[in-house]
Amino acid sequence: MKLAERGSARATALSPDNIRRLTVPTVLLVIVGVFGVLAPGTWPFVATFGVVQALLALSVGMLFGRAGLLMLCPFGFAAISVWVVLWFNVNARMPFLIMALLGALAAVPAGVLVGGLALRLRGVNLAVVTLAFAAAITAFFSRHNFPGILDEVRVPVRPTGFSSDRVYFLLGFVLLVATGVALEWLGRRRTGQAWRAVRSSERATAAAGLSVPRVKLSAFIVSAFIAGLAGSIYAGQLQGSVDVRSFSALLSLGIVAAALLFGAQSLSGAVVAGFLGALIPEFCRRRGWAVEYPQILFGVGAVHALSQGGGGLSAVFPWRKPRLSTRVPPSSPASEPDTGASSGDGPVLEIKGLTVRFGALAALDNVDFAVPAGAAVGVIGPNGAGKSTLIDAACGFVSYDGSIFLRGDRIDRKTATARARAGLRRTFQQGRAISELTVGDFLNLYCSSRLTTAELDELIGFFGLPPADQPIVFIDVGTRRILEVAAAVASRPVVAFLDEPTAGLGAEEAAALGEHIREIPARFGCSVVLIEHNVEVVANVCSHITVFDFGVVLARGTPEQVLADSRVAAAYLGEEIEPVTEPVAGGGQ
Amino acid sequence: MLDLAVAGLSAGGTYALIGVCLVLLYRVGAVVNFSLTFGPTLAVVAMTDFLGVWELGLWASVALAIALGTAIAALQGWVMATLFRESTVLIRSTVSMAMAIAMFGLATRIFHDEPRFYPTLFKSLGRDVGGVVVTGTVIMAFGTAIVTALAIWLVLSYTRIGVILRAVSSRPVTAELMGVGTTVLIVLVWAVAGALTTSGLVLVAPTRSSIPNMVILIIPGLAAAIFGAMRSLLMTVIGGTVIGMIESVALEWGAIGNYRPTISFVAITLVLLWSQRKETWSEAR
Repeated sequence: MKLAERGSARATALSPDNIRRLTVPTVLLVIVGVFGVLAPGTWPFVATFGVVQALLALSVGMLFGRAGLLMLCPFGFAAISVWVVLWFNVNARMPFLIMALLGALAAVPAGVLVGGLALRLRGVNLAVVTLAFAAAITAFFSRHNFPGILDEVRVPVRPTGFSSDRVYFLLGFVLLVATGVALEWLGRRRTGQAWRAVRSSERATAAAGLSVPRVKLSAFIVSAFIAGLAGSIYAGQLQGSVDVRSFSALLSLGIVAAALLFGAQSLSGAVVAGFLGALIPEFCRRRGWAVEYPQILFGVGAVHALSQGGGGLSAVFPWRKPRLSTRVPPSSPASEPDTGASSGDGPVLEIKGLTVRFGALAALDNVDFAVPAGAAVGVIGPNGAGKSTLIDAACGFVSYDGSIFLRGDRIDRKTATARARAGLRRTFQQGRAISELTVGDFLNLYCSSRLTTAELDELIGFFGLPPADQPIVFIDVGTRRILEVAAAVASRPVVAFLDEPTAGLGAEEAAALGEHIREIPARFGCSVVLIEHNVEVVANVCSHITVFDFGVVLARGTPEQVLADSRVAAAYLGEEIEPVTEPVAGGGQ
Repeated sequence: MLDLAVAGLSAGGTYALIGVCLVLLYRVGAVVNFSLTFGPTLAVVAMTDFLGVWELGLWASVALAIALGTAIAALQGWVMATLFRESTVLIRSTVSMAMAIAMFGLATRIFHDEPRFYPTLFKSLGRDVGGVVVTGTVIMAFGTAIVTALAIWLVLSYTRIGVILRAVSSRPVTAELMGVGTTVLIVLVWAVAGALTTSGLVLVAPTRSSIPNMVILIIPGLAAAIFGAMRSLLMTVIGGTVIGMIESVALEWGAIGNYRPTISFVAITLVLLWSQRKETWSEAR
């Protein structure tokens, strides 16, 4: 496939695949909307509760499905919003939509609080804290009556013209759909892609130059706002006759179970979760059946859904499954580099006296290391020699003693994110490509400003990657590693650390990737530090090699010098060695 | 003040007992069991029917309730050990939440959430120690927590089954390859946790009386377990006891006393933030 063809392979908004994906959710929304407006008796009132629950499920589902954060307090956020809406309604009445917006915004500080905790707490710990938060909020509101509920004459909350249940349902439903569409839009923007990155790996997120705290907080802010909006609509639905028991931690758990069962990270999943949760109990009540049966079924269903893998039922529905629309082309050979970048202008990265300790173990002991401008240098050594620790320290992922200079500026106080933005990029030994994104989105995520089509095409062409619109989920592991290398150099950093990029590749692929890596300095204007077990590739790519063993520099020099050094062979064969005391000429220093 | 602190030992002992069971399940079954109090609640509410409708007599009803709580937990353990053998802690814990919801629905469905009479056990054990009333419930609840923590510690540390349980916890597949029946052991541990939690709930049921009030004991129980970093049985007992006593003493603190249920949230948050303060990055590298 030529470059021009790749450009044309990008999906258009109304491609057959997109139309197919959108058809079933749209039909679902139309059915639910028509039901809520036209159903007889009190069904529209019940359907409005479906809107409320759908928004709550969306707030839980988006956090879990998109950002990997398990939050158990959606009703807690909603309670805050209900209180604020009712307070304004009684004390400073204004148009409903403004009160609803203020109510939703009032839940945001609580979202920031819980999101702040999520900077250190993850997984089950976060779940426990948020459940305790839900219980605490209920306890708080059991002492603070909702404004106006004890008044003899209640001030109606719903706006003029929306007093009937049907019309009010329609208002809530429109807000629900608008929220779902906005969330979908946000999910495709950099913000939403960054959520996916945090879900995949916080370290890799920081290595892409994204601030992990900011990404997590943004996810919690959006989630709390959505739950708050649910509360605002709930306040109007009940016309202020709310009870603190409507917000208990147990109900929050029920929403979580429904959100997990139906994969509520998307609008369609949330709508199914919310409306079934509202309509089935009512249906059972009318038939004289037990209203608890749906709750039992939801719980059992969620257990089943989890046993089948994360995404919930909606993940197995046919309309959710993307189809492989374009074939992955074979890796194309590298084209000629643009211009030769200058080499030998002095070091762009200097590491002096670097010591990293893990308890009693010195993973790195007083190491000096330098990377010249426009060079590709190699780092080799047996397992446990300290190679990856060198990257971790340089990129700000572990604390250390010593000093690191990037283009002459000391960067020891900078965070991992700040170092990435300053031009220190890295890849990881474990694959860190985000399978939910496309090739183009992934490459863009690693750049502070969006790549132009020409830049994207150049990257894809140079590394022989699949087309920009190809979802990463369909790409084989070897190609993903090449994609990660491309992402590391996409922002044209000062130095790119490549941590075992050929791991998992066949010999031919590894050699081909090595050829590409050798050309990176000239083409992208950045130096490369290649950490590899594949000594052949390192010798082909790098002008200088540093050998580590037991946290000290064993040898440095040109590939020929290093590979001829008997101590290097001894280290690889497991014999006792003495560290280098005098630097060998050249060699990265 | 001292009266209140001692009275708080009954709640504190129950929190500690639930916490100890949570720690046991976490250490051996690699799960934070959010549903721990839900099955036992169902069993304890059923006890009132054994007593009032079936007229089985007090101790027979108590025994049957504990057996029911044990059986429900064992069934849950079997689901975990078979369907979620290879899952992560987060997935298993999420599964336990779904189980909690199902059991809450089941309990409400069968018994409706109406006030019931729960007998107060061990009344005759009550003592007046130097002017401070120590009720039978306090002695039994606190005593059970201490004895349970001690027993679990001894079993895990000094017995062959303890070694096997620890092996199952850290390397389930390896343990299985070495001929250990992991499913049976995990079901056993769940059953023990169910039996102990049901016993604890039987003791404090007269002061909790409704289904939501009983199941929500999971939160102070979690606070206690987190006080022990989901590992230390001693710290879990101390954590549960302290939270119970503070909640009781807080009755005298005027306005602050109104927010006693938030104490668990504050405790969980502070302990976790302190213990996780150096966890700048997630485990995924």
